Amino acid sequence: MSEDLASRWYTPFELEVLQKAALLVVLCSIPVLWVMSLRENGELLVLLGLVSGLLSFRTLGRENRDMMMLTSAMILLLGSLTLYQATLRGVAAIDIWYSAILICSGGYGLWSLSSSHVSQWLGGRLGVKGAERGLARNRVLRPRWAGIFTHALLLHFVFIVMVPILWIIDVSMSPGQSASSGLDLSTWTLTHFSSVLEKDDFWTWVSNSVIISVGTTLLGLFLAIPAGYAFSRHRFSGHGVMMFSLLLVQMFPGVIILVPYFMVMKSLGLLNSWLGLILAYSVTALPFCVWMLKGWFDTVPVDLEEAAALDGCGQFGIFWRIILPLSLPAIAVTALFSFLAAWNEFLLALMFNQSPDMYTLPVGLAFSITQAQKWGDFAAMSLLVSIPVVILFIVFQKSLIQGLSSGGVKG
Amino acid sequence: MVAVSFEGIGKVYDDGTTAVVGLDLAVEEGEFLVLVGPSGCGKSTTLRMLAGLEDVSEGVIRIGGAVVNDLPARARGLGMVFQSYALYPHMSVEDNLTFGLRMKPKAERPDSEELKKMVQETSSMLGIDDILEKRPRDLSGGQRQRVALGRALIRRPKVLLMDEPLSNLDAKLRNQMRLELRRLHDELGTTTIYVTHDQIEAMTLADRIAVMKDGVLQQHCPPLEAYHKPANPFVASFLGTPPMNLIEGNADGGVFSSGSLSISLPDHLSEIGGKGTFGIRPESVKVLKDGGVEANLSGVERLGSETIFHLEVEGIAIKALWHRSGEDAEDGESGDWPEGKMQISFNDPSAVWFAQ
Repeated sequence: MSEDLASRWYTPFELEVLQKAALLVVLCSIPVLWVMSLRENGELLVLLGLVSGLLSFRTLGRENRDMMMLTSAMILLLGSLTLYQATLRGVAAIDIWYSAILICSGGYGLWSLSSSHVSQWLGGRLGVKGAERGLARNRVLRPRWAGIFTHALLLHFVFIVMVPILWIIDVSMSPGQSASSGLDLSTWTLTHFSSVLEKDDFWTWVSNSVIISVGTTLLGLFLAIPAGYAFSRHRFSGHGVMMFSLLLVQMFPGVIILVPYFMVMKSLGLLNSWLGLILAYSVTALPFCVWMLKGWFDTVPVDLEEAAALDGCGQFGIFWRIILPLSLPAIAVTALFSFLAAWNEFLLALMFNQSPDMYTLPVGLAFSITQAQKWGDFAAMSLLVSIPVVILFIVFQKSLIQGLSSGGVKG
Repeated sequence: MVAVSFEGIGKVYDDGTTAVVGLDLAVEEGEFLVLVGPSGCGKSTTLRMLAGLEDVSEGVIRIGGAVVNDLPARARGLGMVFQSYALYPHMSVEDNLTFGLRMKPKAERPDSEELKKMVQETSSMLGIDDILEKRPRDLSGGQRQRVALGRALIRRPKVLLMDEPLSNLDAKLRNQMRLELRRLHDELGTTTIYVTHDQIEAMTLADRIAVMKDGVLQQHCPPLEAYHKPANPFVASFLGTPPMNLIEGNADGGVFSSGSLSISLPDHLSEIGGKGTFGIRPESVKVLKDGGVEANLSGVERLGSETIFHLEVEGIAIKALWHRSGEDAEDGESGDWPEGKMQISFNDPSAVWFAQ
């Protein structure tokens, strides 16, 4: 029995790691293929990398030793080819990146397949003792080695997410108004930021955005907190229908309501005003806020309210002294959501407030680049616009996690 | 100290469920009443109606003679300990204790010095003076229980209500708190109404118990009276572990028969006749070496201080409880009975009869 178990479960960790490396080649080939096809060269090589990665991924096993050696060698060769081809026409970062992946995984494949543990296992020359020793060795070494490739893979995804942001930062700090990124740290300067900050327009838009976003948050909370509480604690006729219709509103894309909203705002005389946008934003954010808060209130035990009732609180006292203080994390999340929705919104702001002194930041940002192609100023401004968002997220991080996770799950 | 009375109380929920039917119950000043019954018997609903957390569908509730049916909970001057303790998580223990006092109308609100004195008094009485600064989540179950009790007591409530307050504690702590609750009641003399499904709590705490079943009051009397003279088979089987043996059958001329079983009744029951239920507590079933009814032994539970015999007499399951005493105990524990057979006798002055 133990003979079976140890032999059946033992695979040298080198092979398990190799499997991860192959996956890395496959996953990295996909975005690289996309980038290279834009640059009109090397797709064939990348495709080959993709195929050989898939191949070795499929063929891991005792019987396919030669196949595995072959694909590893192929990946190594491909890496060298990529690098060589790049040197012919000037090396770009992406070439080094991709060939490094191939060379590392291919080299690792060849090295690990020729190591004594693996060749013993592949040759089937391990007894029970050998398999047991191998299992013990795996337990110690596997986490270390597997970690390297897992992290390499994850770093790739992080990098892909970070590129646009890094690009924007670079453009905003580089002299000149070009949108292409050279990444020359020695020339970095803050002139774009100062030129944006000196513009009166910018400050007008900032104040518009702040007023509208804060107004939206306050009005939204003022409406959503009592509504969520009522939906959570009371059963009234139309309870289910109203909850569902709140969801229903969320199901349609915002563009559908654009024209009707415009007509309503026009007839109310609320175009080119703060109030018009505040109204529109708080109404569109309301369904999410109400559901979110209802979910939280559901987790606050009714016992607490009853205890407070016996302690001498009326309905409002219970709400104010017990429920609200306990719900601060959920309220923070809801407030953040309303604020961000209003801060980032573009379409309604573009339609409703068409006079330049009533622009919000996103609209102002869009117009500033259509008037003159000043990419440096544009990048600096878009960074400035996102600073409040970043600050809010950092400040509310803790309650954000608490609020989001407890919203649905009973705590 | 005030009296509480329920007069013809009924409760029907909005969905049509009937929880309590025609409840008449008078609680005297300073009495410790325990409402006991299986879950769903309406005991908690009764308590919640008194607290003002549920509307009364029918009848009148009086606290100290005044009808309180339509008073909001906060106006009734009651203190309540919840099963979940329901401590306010965002307040320190001290703030939890004083919350009710601080919510009083301005004229009755104690000033900060009085508040401090009251906290001091209550917390030292309950042994929680060293945790006043802590939050409820940092407390152990026993400490939370004490804080919940303190919060109810600090306002000197007219009536103290407790809804299964000990059920979230472990067995050892529960025993300890039970004694302490009784001691507190003897000290303070507050009229107390206590809901539980645990018959041991009911027996040990109560001045009088009220046994309920399906929303109907079954018996209201001192606990030992309910134990020895149960009003009906339900009360008889609900109180006591293991429960009373109940055998349905006919009595005639001092002889009780049920199926093929026929036994002579004890002297005090010799006058009865007709259909009914014969009841005898397991500890009153006499286990004899010979000279009784023959019973098959189907199982033995040895608990050390006592031994429970699971017997079968003419197809009827009977439990007998044998307390360890002297030399007899040796025999009982060795289980050395001839071929699993025993002789038992039902002739005991504590046996009861419920006529049908």
